[in-house]
Amino acid sequence: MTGEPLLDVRDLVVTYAGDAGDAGDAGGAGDVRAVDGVSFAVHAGETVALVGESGCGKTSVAWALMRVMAPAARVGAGSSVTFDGADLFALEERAMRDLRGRKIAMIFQEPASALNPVMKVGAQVAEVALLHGERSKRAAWDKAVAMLDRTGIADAARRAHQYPHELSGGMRQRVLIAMALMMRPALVIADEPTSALDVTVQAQILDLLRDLQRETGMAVLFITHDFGVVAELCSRAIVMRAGKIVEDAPVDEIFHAPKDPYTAELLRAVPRLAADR
Amino acid sequence: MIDSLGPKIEDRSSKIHVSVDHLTHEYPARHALFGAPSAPTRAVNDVSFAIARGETLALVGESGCGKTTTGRAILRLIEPSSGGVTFDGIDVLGLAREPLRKLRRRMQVVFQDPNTSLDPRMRVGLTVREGIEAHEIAEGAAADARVARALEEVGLRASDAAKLPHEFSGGQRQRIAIARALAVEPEFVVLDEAVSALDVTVQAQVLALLMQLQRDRGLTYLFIAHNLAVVERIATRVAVMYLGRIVEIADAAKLYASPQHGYTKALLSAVPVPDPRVRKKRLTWDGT
Repeated sequence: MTGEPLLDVRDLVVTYAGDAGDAGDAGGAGDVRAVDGVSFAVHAGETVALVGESGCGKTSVAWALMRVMAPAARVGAGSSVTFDGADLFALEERAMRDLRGRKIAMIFQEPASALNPVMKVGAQVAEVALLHGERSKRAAWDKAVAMLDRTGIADAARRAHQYPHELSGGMRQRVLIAMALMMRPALVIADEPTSALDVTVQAQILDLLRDLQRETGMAVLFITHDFGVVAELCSRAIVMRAGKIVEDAPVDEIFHAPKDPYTAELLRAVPRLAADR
Repeated sequence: MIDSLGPKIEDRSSKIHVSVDHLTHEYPARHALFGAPSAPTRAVNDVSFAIARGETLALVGESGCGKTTTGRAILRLIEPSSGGVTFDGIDVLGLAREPLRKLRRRMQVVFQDPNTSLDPRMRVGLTVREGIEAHEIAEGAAADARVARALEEVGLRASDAAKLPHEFSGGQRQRIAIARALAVEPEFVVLDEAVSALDVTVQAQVLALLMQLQRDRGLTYLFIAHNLAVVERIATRVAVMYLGRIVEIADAAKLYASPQHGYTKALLSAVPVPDPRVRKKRLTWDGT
């Protein structure tokens, strides 16, 4: 890749205050280093997988990038994240809030808990536009319906008036995608967005993300444990283990000539249909 | 001719271990405050199959298809609305409380999430020991020895009996759940998404363990799962469920090589291929 990266992560460290440690001190003895010196870059329009097993630190990276952290979590003093030229960790909370949702958006695994159960889904999508400068409620609602329609929700104008519990899991995930893409962000961080879905629904959502990515030119950081999904959607994969990056390479290399023995071990363990071998 | 056919047929029927006949389970209608009640939901709709001794029948399908309800009805963890279940010829659904309790020693279950199925405040040894004592298999030092053996058989240490569940990883906790189920020496085990929550490397180990235990003890499994690639590793036969019904049942090799039903085809085509050089043609199923 040439040119300045859209996202440049340097030496990211995230620690969680442990029982034995002093919560006020990032260097406490009982602290757990969930992310232990991670550096990588994402260029505009790229789809990059951040892949690894549970507890490897991939989700902690995502939360740190969004600057939405658990109270016990601390970012290391030497860590830096540059997004579109701005130093994310130096931004005022106000500026960060403006960036979040407008330029960087996130899609979560569990649409059921990420959506407000007592608010119409159309209003939740429209709210993103209202938070980011749209003055007319009518215009925001129309944009929301158009966006819901774009994510493949049939009869979007009617569905917009429904509540989350009236929609299927796949449809709820489409609503979250609509919310994330409302402001046409330059970067979407997707944290296991299809892991809770059935395979047939997952296949549809992956197709949708691929189409939207092509259409909008957004970059996607796709956090997953599923190598099948990595192969389907991503051009590059970053493999994490125990808070560190063990390998960062184009997917073809990851799958066909992994350099790190841990990557190779993971790939051997991935269950695959005999017919697909 | 007749002579040679006779024993063969008998042979086959005597191998049937668990039989499910026209099983149906309805969840009652939801009553709205006003207006007519909705129709009852048929979670399981006229399901029939037989499992031979020593085989692994996989029950696959997407969420809400009725596979878990079917497994629970067989064990009578829920009372099905209608139909029959026999275990070595015993009418499971007709059993009174005490004979059912005795039969439970022979049929066990392992659930998906060991975090909710293991008591967090109970030492692992006690968890495994509970069943041994409840079924009066052993007591005292003999029970301790059985607990130790059960833990060692699933790849843990006898000394782990003194620990609490939170001291173990997710994969180890699932091994504890398996040890608990196998400690009472069952013949039939329902594995309800038993490896679904595990990381792939751990999942492969636990699958290998389950297959090893099956060979050693001649166990029969009902393997309930949604992941078709995992099922292919362990299943002898596969039953595919869709909206409460079995749409296809076949030997595993045959089902994967030449699926017959449109839904099975769609399900197989949706499994992502862990190889960026391969693009699979996706098939859809319109539900008719």
